[in-house]
Amino acid sequence: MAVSREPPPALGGRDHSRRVRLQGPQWVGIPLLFAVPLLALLGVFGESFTSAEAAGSDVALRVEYSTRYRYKQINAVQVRVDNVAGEPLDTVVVAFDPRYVRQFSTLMFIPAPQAPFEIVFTDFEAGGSRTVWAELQGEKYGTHRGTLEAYRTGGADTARVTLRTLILP
Amino acid sequence: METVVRVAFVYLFILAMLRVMGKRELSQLSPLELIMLILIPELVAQSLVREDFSMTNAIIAVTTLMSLVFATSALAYRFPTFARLVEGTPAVLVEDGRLIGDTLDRERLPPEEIAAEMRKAGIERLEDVKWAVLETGGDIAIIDVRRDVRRRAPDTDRVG
Repeated sequence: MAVSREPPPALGGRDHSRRVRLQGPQWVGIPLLFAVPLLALLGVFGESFTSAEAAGSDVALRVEYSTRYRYKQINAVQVRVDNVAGEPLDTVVVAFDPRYVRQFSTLMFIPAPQAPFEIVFTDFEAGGSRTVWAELQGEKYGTHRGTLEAYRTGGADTARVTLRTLILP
Repeated sequence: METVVRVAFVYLFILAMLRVMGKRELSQLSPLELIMLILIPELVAQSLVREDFSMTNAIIAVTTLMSLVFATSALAYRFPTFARLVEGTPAVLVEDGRLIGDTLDRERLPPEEIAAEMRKAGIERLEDVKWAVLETGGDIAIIDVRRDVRRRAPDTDRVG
């Protein structure tokens, strides 16, 4: 007798028109299940960055920072300050809003702050620029807002931008 | 985005590896296989989530995995060809009391395991086995000659 090597045809070749059917809560759950990775592929849960600018009569300010990142991730706030006064400036202060910065952990500033979250530049030549680099680790969930200011000590006005960062859990 | 790609890649890789290893590994775990299955999660965990320990990343990873599992299951149900691709096909180990050596070799399944399954089914002799089939899930199904005779008996009576 020849060996067929096929298992016995239990169904005798019978089948039915197969369709995948969802039931009850699956109509909500399955689309949600697929939505999360699809949104992730589109970058909805990833990092996003922006830049903002402001200028006063003495200094101009440009900041690049992350508007969204995740818990325990580290991102940098990069600040550029330009002397637009047309003359040398004795002292220029770049000040981060403590309400904003205190929502993060493992803070690192280059150059180092002279006062809490305040970096001071002296002997700022006319037309020159300075850079501040701040690394902030995501700690508290939610949206954090605060200002970043640059001003000449004793100056008439302040260059100010608002920072807004969402930390995902 | 990277997490989705990583989870999808590792899922497909493990699925392919399980298919390559064969059906028997799915059912009964030897100590070596158990060690391997315990170590695999340890080895791939970091490559999946990297240094990102956020809940967001965990949710993305879990939903990606569950989506892949659901999609694979739905496709396997809807398209039998796809089911054969990911799950394999049953393999005949014994037919009409004869061991199918090629299948036993391919599945690395010693005849003693068939004998053990025969004893569980209350069958003493290989000659009494009509079919022994290694199912896609790794179990061995046994149909004995007596059951086969009983099933056919009414037809035989009518013919007679």
